[in-house]
Amino acid sequence: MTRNPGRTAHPLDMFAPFRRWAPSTRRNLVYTALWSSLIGLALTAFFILTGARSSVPVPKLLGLTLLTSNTIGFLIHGALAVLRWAAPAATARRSWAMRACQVLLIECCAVLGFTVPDALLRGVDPISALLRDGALAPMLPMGLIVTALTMVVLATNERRLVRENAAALQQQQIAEAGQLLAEARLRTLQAQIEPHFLYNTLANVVSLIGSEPDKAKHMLERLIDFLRASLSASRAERATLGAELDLAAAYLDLLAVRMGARLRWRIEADEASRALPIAPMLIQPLVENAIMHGLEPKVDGGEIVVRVSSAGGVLRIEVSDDGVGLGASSPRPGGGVGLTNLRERLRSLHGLGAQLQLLENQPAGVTSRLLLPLDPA
Amino acid sequence: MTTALLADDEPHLLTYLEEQLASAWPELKIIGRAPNGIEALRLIDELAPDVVFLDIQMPGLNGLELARRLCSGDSGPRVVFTTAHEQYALQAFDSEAFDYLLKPIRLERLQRTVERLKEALAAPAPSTTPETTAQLAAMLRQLGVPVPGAPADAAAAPAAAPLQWIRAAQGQETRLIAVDEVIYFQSNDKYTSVFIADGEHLIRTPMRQLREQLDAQQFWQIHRGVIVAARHVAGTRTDFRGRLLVKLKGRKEELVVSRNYVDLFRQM
Repeated sequence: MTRNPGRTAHPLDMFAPFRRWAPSTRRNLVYTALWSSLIGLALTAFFILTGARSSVPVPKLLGLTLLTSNTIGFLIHGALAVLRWAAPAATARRSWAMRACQVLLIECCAVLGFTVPDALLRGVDPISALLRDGALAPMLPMGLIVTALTMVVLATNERRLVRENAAALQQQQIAEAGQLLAEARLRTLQAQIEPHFLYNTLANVVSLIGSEPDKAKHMLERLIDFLRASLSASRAERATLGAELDLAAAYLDLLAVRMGARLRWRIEADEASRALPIAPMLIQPLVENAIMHGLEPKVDGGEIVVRVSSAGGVLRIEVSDDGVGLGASSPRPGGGVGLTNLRERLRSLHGLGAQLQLLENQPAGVTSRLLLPLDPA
Repeated sequence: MTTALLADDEPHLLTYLEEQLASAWPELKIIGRAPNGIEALRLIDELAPDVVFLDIQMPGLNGLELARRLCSGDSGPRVVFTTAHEQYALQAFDSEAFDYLLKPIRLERLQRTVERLKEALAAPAPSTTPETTAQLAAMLRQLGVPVPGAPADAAAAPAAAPLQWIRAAQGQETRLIAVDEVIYFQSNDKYTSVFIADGEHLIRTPMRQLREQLDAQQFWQIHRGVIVAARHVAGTRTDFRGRLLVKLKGRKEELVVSRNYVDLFRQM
């Protein structure tokens, strides 16, 4: 006895081992044969044990029961498949009208399935057997039992599927939330302001207030720009390239005051690319690395250039310095972790569509190159 | 007259410290200003100041390394650190011979330092007493600075620093690949292929030479021509021919473990 409630399920799906074979039309046909035969075997065993049909030899009884159960099974299988094909929306909604249709169809199938094999075996024309007055009456209670059984199985399977779908959806939502959380955590980590930077900048402001108040005011204003951009970056999921470059500019401006003649910097980006959307805090770690690992350890200091260009659907952002380079072991720990975080974020944001490359400059220094897919939907 | 030398790579902070010292210790004569550690060392050797105020984060030679070189001498100056690095501010610092000032420096705090310095300088040659040197050495060790003659020093120093960055030619450019990024190396004639998550790079270093430069704890040789990064190993499986295969994080291919190296994975 057979039907598929959802798109794919089968009564045998009630038992976990049978769910290991992925649902398909072929599988369901095999399962219907198996399921019907099992019921046939069970009925035969019942008849033998109760002696209800002791007049019939066992092989014949077995053959008859198997034939009947398979006929009914495949008839129901076909009827429900047709119903599903004819009214897919109603099947999915599991409306009462659909339930009524199913009950009616299964009842018909059961009655047919009981009558026709019986008629064939007795050598009677099945159609005349069916049409004979009162022929169907004895079959009706049997049909009702089959219908009730099938409907119970059908409903159980549907409930299980609904539960499984809900669980799968929940799993998916949990996974998505986990990914969002991981991204937010990494972003927040990268937007974190290094206390060393903050205290040194404030120390510079304090040192300038008395002697050069204008410069102190300028520094405070730039610090406020920087803090505001960093704090909003840790919350926002998207920013514009222009806003990210402004953040880098505020940072570099502050360091230029602090480092004096040891730092020169410029940012090269056209107005059109400044309007492009970009995830926040992708550029800033590269700029901080260029300062921390490139120019701060270099006695004479040097220059940092941030360049933006786009070609062939790829946005290219390069941060170049002419500092001490990465050949020597890192002067400060943390740089490696910063890049690992950045790579992890790029992967969760753009999959394999984004890349971070480090290049060695001639005669000295490092270029960090960020390649991002343009126009991410 | 007491003489002092100031070292800081940030010019405004240097000027400000000089101004603060002028008000906290008008008799102090500032005989040198250095913008980096190397210049500071040169000036200290040349001018022999009584007191030095050192920033910790400086290019060339940082303040802690500089202090280490000074305290290894016979009659070094009193060292006062000035820094924004709060993590270095240990109680152990408050000893008689030196001090530790957090930037931005407060005048009251600087005045306390000045009082202590005056007392210390009035006492006969305190900086060469063994206790003081030992104190400074202990403090420096706490800060993670290797101190010459300390027993921990010899054991901590590795024979050669493991490789950190790999240079790979890419057209006209030279890519820098962090060793942590590498998933595995594969011998390729005279060259070696370096596999990372987003591609393959060819380098000129032969496998044998590379193996010596890699940290053996983190990079396992699993085949005559293959070294795999332990952190990128996802697991192993045995194929139908009975060979042991290594599955990788970040790359789809599986690597064959040759019989000689199968023991590596016995416990896994």
